[in-house]
Amino acid sequence: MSQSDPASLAEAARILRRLADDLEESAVALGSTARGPVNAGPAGVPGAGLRQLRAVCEATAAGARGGGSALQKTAYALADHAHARSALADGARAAGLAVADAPHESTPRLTLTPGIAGIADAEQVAARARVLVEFTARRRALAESHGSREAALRDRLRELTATLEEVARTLR
Amino acid sequence: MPQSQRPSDLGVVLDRLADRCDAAVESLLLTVAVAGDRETQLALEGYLDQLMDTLRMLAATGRETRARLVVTALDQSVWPAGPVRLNRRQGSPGRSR
Repeated sequence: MSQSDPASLAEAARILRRLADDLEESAVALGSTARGPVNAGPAGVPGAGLRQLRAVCEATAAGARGGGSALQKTAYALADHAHARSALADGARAAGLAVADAPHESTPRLTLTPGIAGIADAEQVAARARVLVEFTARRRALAESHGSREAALRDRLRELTATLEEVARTLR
Repeated sequence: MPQSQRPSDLGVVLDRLADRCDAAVESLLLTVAVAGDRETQLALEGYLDQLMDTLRMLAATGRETRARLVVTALDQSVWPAGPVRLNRRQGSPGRSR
């Protein structure tokens, strides 16, 4: 994983929401302007053309709103993930583990602190191993939750992209 | 006046629509959204690219429709009976209904 930027996603989400509002307003305005006794458009512009334009506005607005919502949710989730990651690292350090930041992974790497341990302090060695196992499980759960969230975002964005492709095709 | 005869209102709506689409494309181009891993980033960029393409086409369609309104309005003010079309046989202008 490379570093994600929740603030940049929140900003993109804001633009998308604003765009969706604008397009929805335009769709309503097109509907009220084009509505006539026989649903015909103004002279020179067929009613069907205006209805299609209105439908495209609505569909594009839905595509923008869907993307905005997905990005906003992801921005919040990433902020939560950053807190959880930091709490995990702090907890692991406090428990005596070595914590290495891994910029390309969603969670820090945890290892036993270097040192010489022998049969004399077997209990202590076992206790440290248990701590490592516990924190590794927490790390794995955090990474899995992050991974499934990213997969859900990808699926949603691909779905919206396909829908917008269809919408654009009607304008060609 | 029936709404079907109010091209100026529609012109304002179409102008606004095209301007909004252009403004959104500009804003999206200036935004660098960073989603995380490469695959997610590609999905995000693909989505934003497609959205911007759709917006550009929507703006172009809005302007095209607007231009047709202007031409029609000019036709109606100059030739209230309808736009002039060339009569092919006689090579002279004739009215079309």
